[in-house]
Amino acid sequence: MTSVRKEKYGKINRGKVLGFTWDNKEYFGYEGDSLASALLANNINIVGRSFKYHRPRGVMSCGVEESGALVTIGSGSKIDPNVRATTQELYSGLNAKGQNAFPSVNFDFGGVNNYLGRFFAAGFYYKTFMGLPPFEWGKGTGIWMVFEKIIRKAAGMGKASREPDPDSYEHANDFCDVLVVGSGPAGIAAAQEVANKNLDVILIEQDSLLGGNSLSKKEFDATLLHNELKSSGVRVMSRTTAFGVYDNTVVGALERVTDHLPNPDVKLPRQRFWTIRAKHIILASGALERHVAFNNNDVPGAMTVNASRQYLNRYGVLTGNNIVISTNNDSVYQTAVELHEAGSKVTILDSRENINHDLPKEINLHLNTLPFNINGRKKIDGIDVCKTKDLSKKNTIICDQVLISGGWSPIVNLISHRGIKPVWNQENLCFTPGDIKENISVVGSAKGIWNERDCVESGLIGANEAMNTLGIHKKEISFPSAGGWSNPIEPLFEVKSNKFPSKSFVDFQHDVTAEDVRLAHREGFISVEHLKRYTTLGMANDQGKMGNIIGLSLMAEQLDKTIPEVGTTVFRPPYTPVPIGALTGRNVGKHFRPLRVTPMHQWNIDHGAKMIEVGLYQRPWYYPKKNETLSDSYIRETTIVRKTVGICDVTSLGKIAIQGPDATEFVNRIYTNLFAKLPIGKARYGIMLRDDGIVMDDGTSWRLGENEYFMTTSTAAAAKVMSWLEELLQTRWTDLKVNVTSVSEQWAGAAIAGPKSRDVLNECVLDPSEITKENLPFMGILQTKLKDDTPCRIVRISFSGELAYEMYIESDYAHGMMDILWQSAQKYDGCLYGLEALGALRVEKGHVTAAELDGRVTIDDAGLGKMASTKKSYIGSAMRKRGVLIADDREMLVGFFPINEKETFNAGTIVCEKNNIQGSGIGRITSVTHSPELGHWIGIGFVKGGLEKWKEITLVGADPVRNKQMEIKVVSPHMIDPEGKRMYA
Amino acid sequence: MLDRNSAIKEKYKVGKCPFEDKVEIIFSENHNLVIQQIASWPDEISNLEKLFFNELGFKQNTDFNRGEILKNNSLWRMEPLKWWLLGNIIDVPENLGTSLELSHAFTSIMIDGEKSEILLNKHLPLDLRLDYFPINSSASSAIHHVSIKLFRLNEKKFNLLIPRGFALSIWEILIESAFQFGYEIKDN
Repeated sequence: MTSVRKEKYGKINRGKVLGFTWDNKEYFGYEGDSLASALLANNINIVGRSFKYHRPRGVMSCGVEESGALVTIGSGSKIDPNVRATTQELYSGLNAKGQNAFPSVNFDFGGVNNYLGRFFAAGFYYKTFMGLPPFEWGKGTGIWMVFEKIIRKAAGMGKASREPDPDSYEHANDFCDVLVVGSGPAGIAAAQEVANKNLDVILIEQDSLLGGNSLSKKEFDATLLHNELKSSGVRVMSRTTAFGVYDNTVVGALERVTDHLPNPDVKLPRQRFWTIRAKHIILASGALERHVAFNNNDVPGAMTVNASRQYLNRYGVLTGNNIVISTNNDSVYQTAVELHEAGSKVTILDSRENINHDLPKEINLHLNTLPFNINGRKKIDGIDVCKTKDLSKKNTIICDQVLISGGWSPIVNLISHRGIKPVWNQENLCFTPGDIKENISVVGSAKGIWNERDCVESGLIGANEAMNTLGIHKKEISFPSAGGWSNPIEPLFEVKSNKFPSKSFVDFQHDVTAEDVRLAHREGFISVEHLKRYTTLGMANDQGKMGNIIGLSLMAEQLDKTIPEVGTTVFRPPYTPVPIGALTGRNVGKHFRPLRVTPMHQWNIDHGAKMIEVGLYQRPWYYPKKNETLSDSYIRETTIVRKTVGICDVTSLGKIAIQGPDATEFVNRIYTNLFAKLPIGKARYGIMLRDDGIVMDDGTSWRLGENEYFMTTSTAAAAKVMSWLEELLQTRWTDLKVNVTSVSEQWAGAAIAGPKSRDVLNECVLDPSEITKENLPFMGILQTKLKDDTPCRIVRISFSGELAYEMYIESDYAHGMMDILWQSAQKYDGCLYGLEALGALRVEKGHVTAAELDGRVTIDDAGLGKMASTKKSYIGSAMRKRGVLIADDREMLVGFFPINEKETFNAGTIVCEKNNIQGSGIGRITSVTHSPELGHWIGIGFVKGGLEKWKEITLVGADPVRNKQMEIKVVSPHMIDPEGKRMYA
Repeated sequence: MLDRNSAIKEKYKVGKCPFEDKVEIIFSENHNLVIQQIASWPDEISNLEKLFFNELGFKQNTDFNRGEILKNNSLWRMEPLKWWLLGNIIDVPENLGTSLELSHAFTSIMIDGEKSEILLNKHLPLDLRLDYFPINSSASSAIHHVSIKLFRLNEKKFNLLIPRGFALSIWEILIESAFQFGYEIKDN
């Protein structure tokens, strides 16, 4: 192939020269070039190596269907493999390389595979599963273990960067009345017609220029069209591919924002993932020209006919000097004339007997003639041709390019995403869209309409169909018939040959040959879906665009069926590949999940907190002094809390306002214990069960007024409890006048714990006399003011087992509250303590959290059975009495000590009897800590039968994950101050 | 009284960040947000609406997901039985419903400018075209899985209410998305 740039052709900007690099050599192109057109203009023929046989490949098309020119662009972290050179816009400094080749695509050691083709037939690797015959027959896969490494190393096309993707991506939403996909003649007509009725129209075009197939016309002006559309009010989205159509006329689209720019601004995302919700979709997605399977139909220089026309009229590149066009349809004749006028010698091989086209006399037309074999390996030297009725007699035509048109396939992929099966059109030898029952119209060549006038007409009718469904008007509509050529197309899918090592390719992307399809048939893979998986026909980014119909025709021939009887595979999204970065959008790095912080977040950090993620929350973990480890720190913090006082951010607890005249009744039905007589100004600890009698959550509820409660929940169950309360009110107890509202964000909370906590609080509030034992007894609440007059709520409550309070303040004042509390606590040698110390304190005390209340535990298991009222009904009150939930051998909450106090154990340790260490044992340890007060590790958890059964018996804590065992003993979970003297002080 | 502390204070940098010499988004935070949630009982809706009329001067009965803006306050019907009064607090008789202050539960970000709608649609699957989300409309939706409330104040100006604990995270994402339009953060 000798391709050259032609003066006076093309829509490129010759005033702007762009330098680019191909395989480390510098070349030049023009603004408006694609990488493929620039390579062709520089007469670069070999741009890739095929997947399996490493055969040299050139540019084979001019669009998304490209299977040959798959290249790698960029370097370092910006490497992007498998880019279609045909759709990659050229920019200054573009750095592209061939792939799947060593050392280069021009000379590739892997090319030896071409001569070992017999061993690489379809499904060859599956056969290695069967073992090496005859030694491994019936034994399985010893040989596979050898092959696997080689195959894995050889598999794949191109290599991705191992570095993190430096680009940003984003998601976006849009809405419109009518979405038109494709800007060919039909799409343009549809968009303008709908826009003229003042409907909101979005037009999506995957190309950088509008026009679709009109871009292959010499005189077409894409800029003018763009301006016309914009003035009609059409919202145009170019460089955007509609990759999927989903329920309720939702379209997924990928916009390539900066892929065409040399130095994109970092403020711009590289790509944008659109979700577009339209009331009606008009698919004008066009059609793709097919190849024909014959010997060596992949030699660089083989290309679809219309691609050559595009290169000439869009990019000003004449792709061959001496061109042979092989066809079975009328679509090539205009191209032949234009190529001839551009200076090429043109010969046409038409498989049909008669056609009526006037051609310049310089164009040789051979009727009844088929392509048989392309001569040449890295470039085309000529083509052997034969007559349709006698394949044995061949003539050779010297040429440097072979253009092929085996017919056209409407792009039915998008409509197939809706589960609509395409219907075979025998007259036009293609699948056309089936019956559509949604607000989707298909127009133009996507409907199998070839004639441009009819395409425009179909666009107008599609627009009217859209307006019918939108209720704009009611018009009778009738689409033009499919087809439109003067001479009917005749079947030409394959020209058979068995000339080894030549190959007749059906799917260039995956090196699937006609013989592979026949092999699949011989081996029983006759369903189209099996054929696809066995041969990989239509896989990878080709997705059946080029080889599907040929493959089906070959299978139909083998089965002695028609193509519609064989069927077609289901097209699924995406139509073209969507990078994972685009799917992810901005949800990467620290925004992988939404971060939730407490109002004291910065205050905690400023005061030395190390943070930990708890669910979505960032919580203070520990506050290390200089050189302290986590262990040093939390042990110090725990010790100080027990000795003096500590302050801890507890904002993450769930908080719910329960209001209304029936609030008391509501709370009373939720909790297991009695709330009906809770006085105003008092709080109560409560347990709530699920319907099935299992504990859902624990927390406190404060009675703020006659009809108002302030409920706290555990951090983990905050959202679940809120939803649960809403569900109860909206579905079961609709008669109750109660409103529930999450106020978790409204209120910030701090625990003040330790023997000096009362003294600390007294210094913080406006009226110190309020914080007395009498005025604020255990579970008493107080709505008061800080010393600077800011309102706050205080409850006397203890999670640590010490004299303790929780103070709540409106969130924007939380920093100030912490300043005041901390200033006071420092006077008593107090400390700030984090989640780790909080955990240590509560384990010492035997208080449960989500680690214990894990969805398997009853109120009795947790040792809280006394809180289950027998005087009222509540959620779960009936089901908690099921036999299985009250059996004697249920696992009960207990404490654990190591026998050897120097030993440690981990949460998750399985509790076993000494002589029976297996399975799930007789219990589990759920929480552990070092207890500064006791001087050794402690744990809480569950054991069958509880403390009474195992007291004084040495058990084994088995930790199979860490391959560890230690002797343990069961103790009361209340390891510190079991009488609660400190708490009630 | 303590000073109110913004949830996004650490990342709220007043100034301009233009893109291609343009500023098409203007952010400002309402530092003194006042929200009162008023929830009515079904049989007291008309009486509650009379209260809004008598106490505050709101002239129309606001529909669900609609609001009315007066000079110093605005009233938004967030759910069929729930209103949000922004700007001041009123006493609500117990027989009409319940009242709850949520002034600290949300961070209120005003998003103004030529590209405000487009910016919001980077994150919100809401049809914000003026015909479908006219001025005085409200919606509950989610940005990055975080529930938000959105009010349209005029053609280009929106009030985005983000739960306080998530506000910093969402603010950072909004700023990242706004780079491409050029933005200004104003001191309010």
